[in-house]
Amino acid sequence: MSDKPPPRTIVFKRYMVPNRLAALVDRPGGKWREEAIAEATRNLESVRGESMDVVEELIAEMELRCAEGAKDRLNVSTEIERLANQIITIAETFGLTALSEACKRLCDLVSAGEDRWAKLASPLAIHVRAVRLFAPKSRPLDATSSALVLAELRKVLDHFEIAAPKAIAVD
Amino acid sequence: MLKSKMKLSGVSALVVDSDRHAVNLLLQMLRGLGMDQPTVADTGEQALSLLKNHVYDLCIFESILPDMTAGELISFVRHQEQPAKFTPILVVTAYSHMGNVRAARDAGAHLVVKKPLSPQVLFDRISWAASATRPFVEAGLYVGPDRRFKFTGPPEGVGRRQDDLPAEIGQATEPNLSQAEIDALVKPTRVFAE
Repeated sequence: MSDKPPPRTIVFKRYMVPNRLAALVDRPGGKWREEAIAEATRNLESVRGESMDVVEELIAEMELRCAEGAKDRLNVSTEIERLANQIITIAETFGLTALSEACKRLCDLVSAGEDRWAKLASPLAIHVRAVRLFAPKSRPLDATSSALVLAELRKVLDHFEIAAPKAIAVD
Repeated sequence: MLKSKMKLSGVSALVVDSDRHAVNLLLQMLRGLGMDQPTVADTGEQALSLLKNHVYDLCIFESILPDMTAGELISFVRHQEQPAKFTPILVVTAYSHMGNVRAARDAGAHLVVKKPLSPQVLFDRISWAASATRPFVEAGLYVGPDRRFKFTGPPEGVGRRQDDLPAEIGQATEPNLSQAEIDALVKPTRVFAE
């Protein structure tokens, strides 16, 4: 008698399905790609001003959370990561690359793990200050200064041996 | 093949994301592309109650929600009765780490798209979801679109499906046929009618 367990049987079905979305988008009277994209871009531009105000509010909230950091580190780190992600979404939509990069460095730092939090309070404060430097209503930095600030943030992460998490391109 | 023209008015879409600023940007884009008024839910619970009562033509889920993951939401959709279970689902993720992408794919998402979305990317992904003739698969716990995009044979040379042929023929397990045996197989044979 063999000791091998019997092979597991999985019922496998593969079939074509009706695509209702295809039937709907193919109706007459649609928008051409260029026309639709241009209108969507115009709509986005119409909310640029209010989005910049939102970014300022999010940064202010982040600064507040960072100041509270010593009390409840775990909740604060989750909150800061959430705020940073919201800023990244808006910043990348409107081409604020340096702000988005600074927030990504902050996310890398926050995701380093709660066991290392005792050492990371000061680097966290530095990153939040850097985010403030790139805020839409702060005095704009030239390209060289922006690159320098981001490079220094990278050095801080390197010092604490925090690597950027392995991300993959999905689009 | 991607579509160069689409009519999105009248398409019912469900957007699930707890980040209201990201939702606002997404809605601006969807309206620009021609969608009338997508339904928005900011928690998984809210989304579940909407999905129980309505069949949507398109779902756009954020990968991480305050009360559940997109995977759990997708799994709910995929175990509904048809046609709801076939709804195209796009997962958007700010955290595009391998784990998030895999979780969404394995739950049965049609596509995973990194945030922030641009109008171009959004148009093309919706167009792709509308034009792809992708078969559906039900196998064990997985219900969703076939995850094999390219028909290039079994993955890494190891077939896991019954109809997969091995990538290599390998060693013969039976002796080769002799010429006489081959001749016998192909030789015309007289058949006597009764």
